[in-house]
Amino acid sequence: MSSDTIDRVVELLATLPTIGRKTARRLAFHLLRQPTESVQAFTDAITLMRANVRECSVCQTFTDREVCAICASEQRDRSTICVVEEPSDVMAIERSGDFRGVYHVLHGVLNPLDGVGPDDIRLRELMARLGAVQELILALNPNVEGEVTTQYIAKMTAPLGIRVTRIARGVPVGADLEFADDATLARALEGRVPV
Amino acid sequence: MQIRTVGLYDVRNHVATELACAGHVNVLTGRNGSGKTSVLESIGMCAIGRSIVPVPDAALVRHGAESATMIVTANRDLGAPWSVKVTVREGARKRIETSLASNATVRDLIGELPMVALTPDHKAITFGAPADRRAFVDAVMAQASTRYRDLLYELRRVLKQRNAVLAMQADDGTLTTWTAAFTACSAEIIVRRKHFIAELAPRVREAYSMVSDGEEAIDVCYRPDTVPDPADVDTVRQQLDEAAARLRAVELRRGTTMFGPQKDEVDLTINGGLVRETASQGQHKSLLVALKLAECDVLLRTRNERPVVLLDDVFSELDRRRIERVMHGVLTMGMQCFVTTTEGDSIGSMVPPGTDIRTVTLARGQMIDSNQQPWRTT
Ligand SMILES: [Zn+2]
Repeated sequence: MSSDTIDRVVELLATLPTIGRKTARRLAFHLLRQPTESVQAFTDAITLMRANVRECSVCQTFTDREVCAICASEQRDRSTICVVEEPSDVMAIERSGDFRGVYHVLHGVLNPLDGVGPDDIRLRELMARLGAVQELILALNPNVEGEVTTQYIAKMTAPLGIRVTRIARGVPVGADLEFADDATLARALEGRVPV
Repeated sequence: MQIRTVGLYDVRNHVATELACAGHVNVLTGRNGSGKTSVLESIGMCAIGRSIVPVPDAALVRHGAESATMIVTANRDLGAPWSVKVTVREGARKRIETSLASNATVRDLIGELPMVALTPDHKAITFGAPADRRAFVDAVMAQASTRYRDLLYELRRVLKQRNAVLAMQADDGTLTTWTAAFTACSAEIIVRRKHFIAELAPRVREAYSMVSDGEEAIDVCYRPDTVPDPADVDTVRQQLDEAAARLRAVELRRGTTMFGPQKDEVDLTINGGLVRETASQGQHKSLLVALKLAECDVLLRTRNERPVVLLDDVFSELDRRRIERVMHGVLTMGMQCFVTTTEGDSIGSMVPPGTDIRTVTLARGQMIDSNQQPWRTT
């Protein structure tokens, strides 16, 4: 068998995280066996997602609107901001169901080895939001980079007199927030400690 | 810990070799290239996540095979079973399965199956540079303490990140924070090294006097960078912070970290002089053996688990008398050992009657002969 178009699809699929060449090939053949309409629906959904989804102008998470549903909600307490690395972390904490404040998504952490400095994550946007904020909860991943970013934000915000806390170490060290179970996350938020 | 079985599948020249192990001494004989060291390499892989010989993982994959798999099953001293399966393949991360986790990391592995190895490469501990002795101390401490193991991983990562900031030769505002993270874990490492070496030194002296007949005064001295006489963690951290402030401009100019525990030295002395400068060949050998016996003792005490001892090709380096004393020390502490040698029956005549010993003869990666208790008849 030789097909440049299949090769191209396999090549592109293999660029996705956790997808190796073998899996990419399997996925490509799977798609080939699907009805044209369902493949079309699939590609349309992806195209639409890419065209419509943007970052919330307030918290920087992914949303279809200018301001995301959480930031727009009257039910949420705007005096408490929970700072996370990725939009997927917002979903994880929302699933735990206990947090009534709002979020701020950094889209990364300080990582000089990968060329990520303070200007490359949404820190400026965070600083601009702190006017009426009383508590900042730092919920970054428990690794070297998350730890240093936590300390950096604590230092940066120290002159503002805001209460800065971090989630408790209920989150297993080395584990991603995204994969912590709901109960663990709820406990971690409950038991937060000053930085 | 007692290893019950070792399995090698597509490891070097082994297609599929399965060894049932004796409780005390396992002798692996055969010519060079027979695959006897591969057995020790496989145990090393399952104990500390790498071969006891400094080679890339991919070197273990049998020529023509896609991957190499090594399996060790063992019993902890308290009886619980422990097993590890490691699969390595070229260009991929090695896969580690244990009794506890289906997807473990090397970091999870270290310390679970305490292991002490003596190979011809270990000569560097007494002959080599300060970095070789620091590596020796770090490796023992990482197996002895989970906290220390984690600190080493943290130090390596923080140091790389801090160097990446310094390499820009300009502070983007984060240098102070990286420095604080660096001095925090450095201080704890330094204080732990100090205590560890203070505990190790008398054990090395004791083992040395058992191995050699000499009266030499042996010492192991910690020579930390920046902090000549470390006290408690807080004080050390403060001293490191001061050093960071003092060196800031120079570090930014040179683009790299210029202080810290990655520069620490460990000296070995004999009668007050540096071993690497003044010791005789024989003294080097006795000291190396003494260091390894002290390592066994330290692991046994801190882990509450008898380490497994791997002796690779010791006859090429050590004389019969020293090997006898090593074997005596190992067997007295009740530890299981694996010995590779080209001289098959030498070991058997060195151990006391009643020793559970097994000799396996290998050729081109295959067992050609194994007998259970050939020396019991003495
Ligand atoms: Zn929002």
